[in-house]
Amino acid sequence: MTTPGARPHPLLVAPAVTGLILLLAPVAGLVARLPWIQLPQILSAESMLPTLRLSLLTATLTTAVSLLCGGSIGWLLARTTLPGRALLRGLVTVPLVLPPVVGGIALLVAFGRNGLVGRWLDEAFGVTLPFTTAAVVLAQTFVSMPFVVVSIEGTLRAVDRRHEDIAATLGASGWTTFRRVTLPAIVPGVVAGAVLCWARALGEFGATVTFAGSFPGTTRTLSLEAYAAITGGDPRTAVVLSVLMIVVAVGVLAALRDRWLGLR
Amino acid sequence: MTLSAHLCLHRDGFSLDVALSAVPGEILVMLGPNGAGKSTVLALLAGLLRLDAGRITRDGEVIADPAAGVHQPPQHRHVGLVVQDYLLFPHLSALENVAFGLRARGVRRAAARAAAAGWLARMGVRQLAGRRPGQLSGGQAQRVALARALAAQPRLLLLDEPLAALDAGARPAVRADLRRHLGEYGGYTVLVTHDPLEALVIAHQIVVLEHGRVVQQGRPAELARHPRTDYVARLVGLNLIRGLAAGRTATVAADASVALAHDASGPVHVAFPPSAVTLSLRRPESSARNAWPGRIADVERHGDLVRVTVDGTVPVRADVTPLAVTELSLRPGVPVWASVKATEIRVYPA
Repeated sequence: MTTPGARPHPLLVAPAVTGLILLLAPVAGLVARLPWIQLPQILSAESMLPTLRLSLLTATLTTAVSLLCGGSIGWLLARTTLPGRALLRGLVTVPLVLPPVVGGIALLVAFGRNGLVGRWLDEAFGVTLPFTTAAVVLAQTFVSMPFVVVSIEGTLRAVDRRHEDIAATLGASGWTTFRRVTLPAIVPGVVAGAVLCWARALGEFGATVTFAGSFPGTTRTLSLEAYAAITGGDPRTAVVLSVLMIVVAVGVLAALRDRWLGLR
Repeated sequence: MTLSAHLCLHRDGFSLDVALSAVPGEILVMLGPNGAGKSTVLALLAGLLRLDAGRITRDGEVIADPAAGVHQPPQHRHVGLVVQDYLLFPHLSALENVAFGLRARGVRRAAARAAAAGWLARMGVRQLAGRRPGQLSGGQAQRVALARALAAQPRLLLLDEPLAALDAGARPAVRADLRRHLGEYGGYTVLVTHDPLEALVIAHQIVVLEHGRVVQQGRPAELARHPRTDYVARLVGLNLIRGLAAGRTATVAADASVALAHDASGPVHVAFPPSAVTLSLRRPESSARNAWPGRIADVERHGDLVRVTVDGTVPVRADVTPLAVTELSLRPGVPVWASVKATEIRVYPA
């Protein structure tokens, strides 16, 4: 039994405080170094709006693709008795532990103009993916879809399927049962997966820069722009972009949390 | 107008082979110990499980017949299912739960809600319409679940231990209401329970299930009078012995026989209540009595009396007064004689 409000153990205090400093100091530093005077100028720079729009667009497309494809995979894993399900689950979650740059290289090998799939796409449809906005979405999806798969599979497993049986006896078709019984039951898991996916996509760097490059307007997202700024000798812009990403990510998370996750 | 079903299913070591038939307006109660296959029977009738073999027909219509490739899915069977833990949809209000079946069948929202409100009123829980299932007590949830099943106008109502999750205090009232509503419902009703009292009180017809087989069926009074298995005998509180009768004697074991009050012949069941059994330490003198030696296996409270289980060539249970227990020092292991008057014994063909 733990007593609520127990005094913290002295041995735990030091490492906990160190950890908090480690987590919070960089963020605090960013905010402290925010160049308030040049802020309007930096934010109204010509490239800023397209970059922000590209980031939001690709992260949202990635989330949509991940919900459709990843949700279906999650359903298959949770609800069917496919042979090799364990292996499939393992494969799907590999990108979670893979270094993003490796993901980018792998995507290049597969979807590059001379890649396994890329060559065929090029010859059959004249489509080349690398270094396009589509490549950004592909790279982001590669690293973020596993979040959706894992969370939707988990919630589907937790659903009491007898509710679906009852719905069927009450005359509900498979689709009605899904829409009115199963979906409401898994909404928290779907939203949680989508939020994680979206946040991961928004921050994606390694796979994107490797597979899609960093072309202003088409593939240079906020994180790529921030990296370009810091390596290009413009730390002030890098700081502003960083804070902007924090604001966007935290804002979306907070909005969804109140509306959907019921975690207040 | 009948529902007749022959249900066969084999699943990892468990085999079910049950035939039953029901009449509209009558309550068929399936009684049996845990694991007898009662819930499986309901799932088969509802279409949630497929028959391996057998056939279900209702009013002449074939609902399931694997040999002919017929399997009506649950959503086309017009069944209502009420289960022990109610399974109300947690994200819908009580009203929306009850309206669900009508909505699923295409009734417009306003009409479905009006009908649902009517059903809640009939169940006496109209005021709970806006509540979520999480805010309902067990008895309230049971009524909402019954309303939900009935509102969909099922032709077959299936109830799986509908009262089992209620605490003892709430059960009598809910049971009385359930009985009334089932009486008003004109369709086929199959209710599953492991509680003999519930079965005897609610049923028009009882089917006793053990190990996936029907071991006895009949009207409650018939079951209570003439049990055919140890399980049923125990439920209705009788000692039951099988024997072979000839004249006024039935041989029940190699070296034991029972004296009967009337002539009988062939394989018979011999039944007598525990209250008719007398225990004594020495062999009773009276020759009119049946007396069998044995050893006490168990002594336990049974209402105001004490139920003593005697192991011997003829195992019996006896109800004796606490005074007798102390006077005779009845404890497990003590050798005793159990005796019963022939006039207390019922004999019927096995």
